Amino acid sequence: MNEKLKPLTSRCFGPEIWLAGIAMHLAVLAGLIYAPTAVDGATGKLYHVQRIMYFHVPSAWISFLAFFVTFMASILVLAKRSEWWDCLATASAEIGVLFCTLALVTGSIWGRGHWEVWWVWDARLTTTFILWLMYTVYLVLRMSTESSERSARFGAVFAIVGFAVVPLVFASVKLWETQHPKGMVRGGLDPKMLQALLFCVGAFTLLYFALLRGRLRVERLRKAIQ
Amino acid sequence: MSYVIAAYLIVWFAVSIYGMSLYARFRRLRRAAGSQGEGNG
Repeated sequence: MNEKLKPLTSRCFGPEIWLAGIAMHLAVLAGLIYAPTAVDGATGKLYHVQRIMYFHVPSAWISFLAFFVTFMASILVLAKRSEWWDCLATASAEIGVLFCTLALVTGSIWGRGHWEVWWVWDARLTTTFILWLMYTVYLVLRMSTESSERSARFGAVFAIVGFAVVPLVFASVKLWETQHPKGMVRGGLDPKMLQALLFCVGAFTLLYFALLRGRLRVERLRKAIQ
Repeated sequence: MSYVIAAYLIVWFAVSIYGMSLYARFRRLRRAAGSQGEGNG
């Protein structure tokens, strides 16, 4: 084997993947068992479907974190022209798209249980869908073009422009009339619910970094072989 | 509750499949790196 490639081929994931796996198992228990069932304020009935929040909110959080990492790495691609930052931008964008898809899917299931529809063209949902579309296009472009400095710079500009949608997603619930819950965490969430939610956010964050490390190794190895 | 289980299962399976696909990609590239080294002598 080529000596330059040797350090990249030792292993895909680091030991943190096991920690992330354990944390994800505990996150399921926190969401399904530890957290109390919410009560619907209007009907007084148990509101089981709210438990989706423990996977929906962390998925959305990870997608924003991942796109932020892509955004920062893209700025550094343009500033330093380093291949490592380009690898990081692509790796993080891929994980971001995965979690953005999961946020959309779990949100849709929550919507079906609560609003009785799978999808509404609501401001928050629409802006999140646009964000997903932007970074999916980014990934398709990166995968369909040959690795070169020019394509890295073009991808970096696209990722930076695409990140402009993130503040719009955050502001959407304030700027427009929306059915999406606003400021749920600040609005007096039960302490046990908040603890479960924060634990799930932590578990997902750990999972993100474990996956990012693996994805980064794949990307670096792919570029080294090319 | 079935919606909740469905949502959790979807997240669980999607993340597991993604992790496995990453590992498969890594193994394929490692094999390619090995054969490339052999080709180069």
